[in-house]
Amino acid sequence: MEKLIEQFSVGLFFWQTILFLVLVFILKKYAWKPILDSVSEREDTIRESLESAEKAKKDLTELQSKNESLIIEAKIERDALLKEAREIKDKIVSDAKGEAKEEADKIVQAAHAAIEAQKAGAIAEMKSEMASLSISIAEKIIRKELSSDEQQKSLANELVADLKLN
Amino acid sequence: MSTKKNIYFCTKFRIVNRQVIMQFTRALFFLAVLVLIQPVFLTASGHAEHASDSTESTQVANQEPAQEGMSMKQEIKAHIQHHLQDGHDFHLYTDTETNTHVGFPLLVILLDDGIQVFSSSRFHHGESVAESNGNFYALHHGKVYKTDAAGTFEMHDGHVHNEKPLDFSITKNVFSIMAFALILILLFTGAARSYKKSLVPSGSARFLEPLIIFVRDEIAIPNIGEKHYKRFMSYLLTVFFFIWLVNLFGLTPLGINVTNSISVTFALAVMTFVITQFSGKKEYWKHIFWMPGVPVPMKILLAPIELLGVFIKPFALLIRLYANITAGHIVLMSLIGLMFIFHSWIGSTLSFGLSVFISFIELLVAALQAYIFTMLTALYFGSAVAEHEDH
Amino acid sequence: MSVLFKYIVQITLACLVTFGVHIMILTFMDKPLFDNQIITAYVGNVALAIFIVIGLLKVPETLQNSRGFLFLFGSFLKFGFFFLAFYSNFKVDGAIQRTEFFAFFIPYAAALIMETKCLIDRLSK
Repeated sequence: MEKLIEQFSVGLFFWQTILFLVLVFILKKYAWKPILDSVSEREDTIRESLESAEKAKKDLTELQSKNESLIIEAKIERDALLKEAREIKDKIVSDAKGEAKEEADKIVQAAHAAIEAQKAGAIAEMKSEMASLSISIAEKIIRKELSSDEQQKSLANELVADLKLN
Repeated sequence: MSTKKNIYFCTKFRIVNRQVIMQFTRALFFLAVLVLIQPVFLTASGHAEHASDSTESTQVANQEPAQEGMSMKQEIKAHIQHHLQDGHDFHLYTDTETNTHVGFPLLVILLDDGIQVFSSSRFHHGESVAESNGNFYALHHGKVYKTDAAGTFEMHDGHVHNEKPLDFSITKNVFSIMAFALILILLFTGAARSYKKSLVPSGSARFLEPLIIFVRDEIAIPNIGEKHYKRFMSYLLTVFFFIWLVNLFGLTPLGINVTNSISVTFALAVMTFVITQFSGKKEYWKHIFWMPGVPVPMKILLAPIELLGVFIKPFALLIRLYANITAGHIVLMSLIGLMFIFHSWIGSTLSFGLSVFISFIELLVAALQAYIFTMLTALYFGSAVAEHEDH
Repeated sequence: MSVLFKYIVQITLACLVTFGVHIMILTFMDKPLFDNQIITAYVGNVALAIFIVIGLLKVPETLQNSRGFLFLFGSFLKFGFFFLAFYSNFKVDGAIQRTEFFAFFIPYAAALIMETKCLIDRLSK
């Protein structure tokens, strides 16, 4: 210890302190600051570019998945559209069928009615024709036959029998 | 935890690209070569300095007893001591034959009778007395003492009792610190410049960036936290690279041993201490003076202990760095010294091999100590700014 | 203001009591009572303690977190005060005697404890 103290030189201590402080100051200004700044700048750049690359990759995958989902969506939509179209077609067809049937039924009905009406009319006409014919026949017979009562009577019976037959 | 981190630290190099590894291996190779030639170098200078010491003793009056009679062991010990010491000139080695010193003088600045400034060449490597404005100074064991014109030292039981002026000289260590500061500034501003062109590092930045990121991600953020770490980054990075570089250069045969000087590690620890205390938040002080969550008598007992801990922590920091590096140098140089004590070729070869091995371990220790110092500094900063600790 | 006043009174009272006890002990031990700059030590320590407490209370909002640092800085200031005013006088005879040491240390400790109490009080707010 004594030897250490003896070795201690104030001058050397003084110079070392001064020179070292000057050295720290100069190196700080002209070396450490620029070096550390550029190193950290470079590290930042590397980190940023890595991050941006990562981000781009993520974006790309995102885009891809988005595209895929878009395609799937489009497919679904197309399918839905097709289905709807088919439904509409079916509906139209069935509607048309129903309408046509109705129309046909109506026409048939109308035809039936017309036929019925015509038939009725024909029957009525026939009846009246027959009535008038009968009357005229009757008149003729009557005019010819009714000269005797007997004859009248037999004719009347005959007529009645005929009528019943009718 | 620290071992795990070190493994990580080592493996981190594997991650960086091949070219960087190449650069690193090249640097390592260069260092290895320097380390390998160290024993050779020191052998030469060891002999040389011994010779110069002996001439010194004849020229300066009342120097220590002449060293001719010293045994080899003492000589080695003296050489190690000398090698670890700071000096007033940048002395590389001495040529014994011609007695010429290779190196260059530095500036001596003394606070004595005003400011005395003169070149250390006036000491003639401690061989003569320097005169400045009518005052006389001489060197003894690398320290400046005030003497008379003849350079007389008043010796009492091995200690010099002459007046010691306040020495603010640009010593070898101060000069080295300046050089290291310059190297660091050039290296890192160069690296910073390469970022202006593009964010991708090029050149030296390729090698330095993983280290900077290591300090940030493995030292600063885990210990201080994401929120506050930015404020301390400059200091942590500077401390880390300064200590590492200084330790590495301490392993070269240039004889620059900055981190094994207690004043340097003390200065670093004081800075860590001041920054820690100044950035201490309310919570930090509360934990020191009035520990929450413990009974009152415990609080009173803990306050002085905690307060003492505030000072002990940076003290441990400074001693750890100083002791590790100094111990490493002493072990290394003792092993090199052993080469001369063993006169057989087996012993010398063995200790040569051992010293090379220790040199490589010291390379690791150089980085490890820088890491530990920075790590503990970050830990203290972290405790200072922590907003609520878990107990 | 009233809080500051309360602290000042507390510090002064505590140091006065300590001073009384200190003098009493000195009397019992038959030591010179007002030697070793004991008055200067008490007055100086109390003054510094009050100064530091004022500093602690009046720090600007931005430096609220640095009150602990201010406290430590105050302690260093006291060491400076000791070295400037006492150390050389105590060292005149070559060594620091026990009475000399206590003449400075007791008021120092008393003032420090009171300061710490104020700091804890502030920190707990």
